[in-house]
Amino acid sequence: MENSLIPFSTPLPSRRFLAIGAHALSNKMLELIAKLSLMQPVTVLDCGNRSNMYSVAKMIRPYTSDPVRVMCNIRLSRAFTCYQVLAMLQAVAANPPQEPLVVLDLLATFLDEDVELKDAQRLLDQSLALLTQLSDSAPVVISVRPIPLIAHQRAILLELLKNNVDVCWEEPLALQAAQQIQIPLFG
Amino acid sequence: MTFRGWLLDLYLNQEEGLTLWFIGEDDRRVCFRQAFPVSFYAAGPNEQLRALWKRVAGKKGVLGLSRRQKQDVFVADLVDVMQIDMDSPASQVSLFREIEAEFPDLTYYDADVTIGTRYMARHGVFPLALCELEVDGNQLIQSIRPLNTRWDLTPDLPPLRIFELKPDCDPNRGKVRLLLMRTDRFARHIPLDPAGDYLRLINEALADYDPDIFVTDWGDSWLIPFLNAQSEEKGIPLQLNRDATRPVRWQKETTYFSYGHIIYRPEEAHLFGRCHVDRKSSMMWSDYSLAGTLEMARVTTLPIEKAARVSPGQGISAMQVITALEEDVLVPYQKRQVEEFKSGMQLIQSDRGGMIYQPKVGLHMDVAQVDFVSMYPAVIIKGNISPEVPLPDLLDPAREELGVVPLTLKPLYQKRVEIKQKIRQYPPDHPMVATLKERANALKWLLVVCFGFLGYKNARYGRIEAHEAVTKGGREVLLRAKEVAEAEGFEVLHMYVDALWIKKKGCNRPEHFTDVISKINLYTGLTINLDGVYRWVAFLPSKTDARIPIANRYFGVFQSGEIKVRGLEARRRDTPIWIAAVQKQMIALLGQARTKAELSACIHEAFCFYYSSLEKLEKNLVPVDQLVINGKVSYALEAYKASTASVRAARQMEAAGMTIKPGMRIRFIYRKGEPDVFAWDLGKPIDPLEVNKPKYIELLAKAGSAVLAPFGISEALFREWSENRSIQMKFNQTLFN
Repeated sequence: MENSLIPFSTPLPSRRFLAIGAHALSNKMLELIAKLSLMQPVTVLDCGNRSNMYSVAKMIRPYTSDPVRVMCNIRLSRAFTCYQVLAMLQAVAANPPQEPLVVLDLLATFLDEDVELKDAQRLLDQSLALLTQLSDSAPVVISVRPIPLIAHQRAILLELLKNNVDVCWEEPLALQAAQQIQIPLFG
Repeated sequence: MTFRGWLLDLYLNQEEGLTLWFIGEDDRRVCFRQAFPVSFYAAGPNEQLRALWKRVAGKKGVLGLSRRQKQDVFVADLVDVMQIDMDSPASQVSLFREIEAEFPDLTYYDADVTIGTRYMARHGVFPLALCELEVDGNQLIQSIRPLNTRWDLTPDLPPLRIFELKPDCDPNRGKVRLLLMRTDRFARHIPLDPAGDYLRLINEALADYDPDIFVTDWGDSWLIPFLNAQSEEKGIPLQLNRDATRPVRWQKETTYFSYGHIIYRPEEAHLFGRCHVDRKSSMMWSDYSLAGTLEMARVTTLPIEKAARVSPGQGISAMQVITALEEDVLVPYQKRQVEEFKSGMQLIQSDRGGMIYQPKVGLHMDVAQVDFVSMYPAVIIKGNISPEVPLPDLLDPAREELGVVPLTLKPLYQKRVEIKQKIRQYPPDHPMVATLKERANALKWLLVVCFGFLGYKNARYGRIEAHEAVTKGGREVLLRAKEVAEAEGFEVLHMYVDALWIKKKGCNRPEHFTDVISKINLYTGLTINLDGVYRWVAFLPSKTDARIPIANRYFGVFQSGEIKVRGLEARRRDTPIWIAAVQKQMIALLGQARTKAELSACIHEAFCFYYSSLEKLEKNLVPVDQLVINGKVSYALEAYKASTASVRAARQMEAAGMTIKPGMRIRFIYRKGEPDVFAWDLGKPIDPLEVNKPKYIELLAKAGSAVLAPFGISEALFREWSENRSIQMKFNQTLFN
């Protein structure tokens, strides 16, 4: 957990971080959530069904004698449509948390082809304004996956997001490839 | 004038509002029109609502604007809304499109409710409802009232005229030479002659017979496009619609995600004044046929053409909207309600599925299978689980007054139970039984999807916490059932979501299980039925590790001789017909055994059958079309990094100029050499000698070994024998050192 590939060191400053990588860097983001939850409360907004709390529980287990208390440091909600993403951010912004906010796979629902691109763009604009507002009181870490080929018309959404963060980190291609290569059994 | 008849079709017209077709009690087919003003609502900040008011006041089609307080299920208090009254559904649709683009941040209600659903909610009339109408001299309906309900067990149905038309072969595979035309009055084979006489014949038959239901095979994807193109090319008129003022309406092809599968639905041909049902596009046709389709249309109020084609989820959605409209609850256009915040611990505790108790692998004699009747719908009704109702304490409802979801499900659940009781009143070969079973199956599918729909992202009355409460209730029910069974001295061999497999020494007749079933009913408050008593049942292990049991992978024989198979190749859609048939026959041969002692002879017989099948394959005696694998592509082809057999076959089809869409079924055969697959739908013949026999031997060995595994024959051994007709004995070297 200490050798995280994402260049975020805790405690996080109050800024907007964006991490881009395969599978919205799920494992790394869950590590970050685990690490933060060991020290303080953390709010998680899951926009892509990525909040595998069993993984987080396993990650924290070696570092605490009270895993239930640590798991209760995590406060999370899931959104399954981009309308719900906006509604969820509005709900959070009404009572902004002072603790770090982690947004998992922010763009997943905005790629839904049932939602017209102009509507997705409008909803994302409003969501980003709320994230900016939230970053005034606490650090905001957002993860996304690269726009898949099948949704290339929506690449503009990722550009919009990149233009609205303070730090953008993209998983190097070499790292992505390395994850796909099986480690040889013998040296 | 007073008219009595059954509603067949209903659609929009630009003038009065609606066009309705009826089958009169006097067997006439009559068309009426009806004015149908509708309302929809907008909510949001006052300044935006004021701007909207100014924007729409006085616009064409707007009858009035007013402020109201209405109930949104996701909001505790009444919400302030602006009501917009429109003169017709057509003008409502066009105005809503305009204002949605201009005022996207407002919340809209009742804005996209289909016309059939609105009509049902207002007049209580549904497809094939018997109605009494008052009509004026201009054929305009002044009033309408239903004379039966959606929930009638044996409804008075009209004498439908059904006209079947289909090609003599699969048009994707071969050249169609004949069209087969059939009604209850005549049957004809019509050659596709170059002069186009077949068009005249079809046209005459349609005009003469005047069908209500036009049943086709490949009507959407081939037959109707072909007939229309030929009619235009040859200048021979073809009138498929009963409403002669309308052309065929085409609904766009679509790909969607449903229950873990990507599904492709081709373009659909819809008719006016009669209904087109394409058996090849009707996803549930094999389950419930025409009787089930009509039942689905009646209870869901979906048009018959739509009820035949769409997934049951759309039916449940329409029913929930009707309940909401009847209860004067707003129908949200976009659901914005989000999950309540949970802690990480709470998510682990709540986000679970159905209860599974892994089976005891192996062969078991005299086992009873008991199933809860539509368990999840029953839990929803009993626990009053609905998005707007506080969650129950396990199975005890938080309030008595039913919410939108249980209110919708209760009559549906009761109707299915009553139909099933009615089936039991007839002997199995009675002509009513098949129809009743098809109707019960249609209702079953509606009940099956209602649980998933609670957690579906786009469900208007979905809520993830309610979805989780259902599985929680289900787990509780199953645990209570297990406690009762064990307290009664039964051994629980397996539990799977809503079913238990139990056995007890000396219990091998249905009446031996009556007492435990009554006690489970009492202790859970839900109805559980005896599915049957198995002579024997075999629970299979994992293919990769024989020590690991696999849930819901078994086969067995009931005392009646009926065979039940789950999780085996024979149940998979992609298994070639011939391999599935061999596996089923092997099980059937084993099923002849009534006792453990008789099994060894049956195993020998099953093995001999397997051997003879293997020989048939090797001697090229298996028809090639029975070796076709029914694959699928779930994504656009360019998105695939690895190339599966289905993808390779799909690429061949694409290279031949065919369009491949995600969710499409791709049929192929494994062939020798390169390319290693042969796309079946290219329509070319394949030489049986080109078939990759070792590959099919491998598939057959897998299917055969699954059947014989419970008797101690391992898959590896079976495959080795199948490939070599001998088994190499492997000795442990250490024994000789």
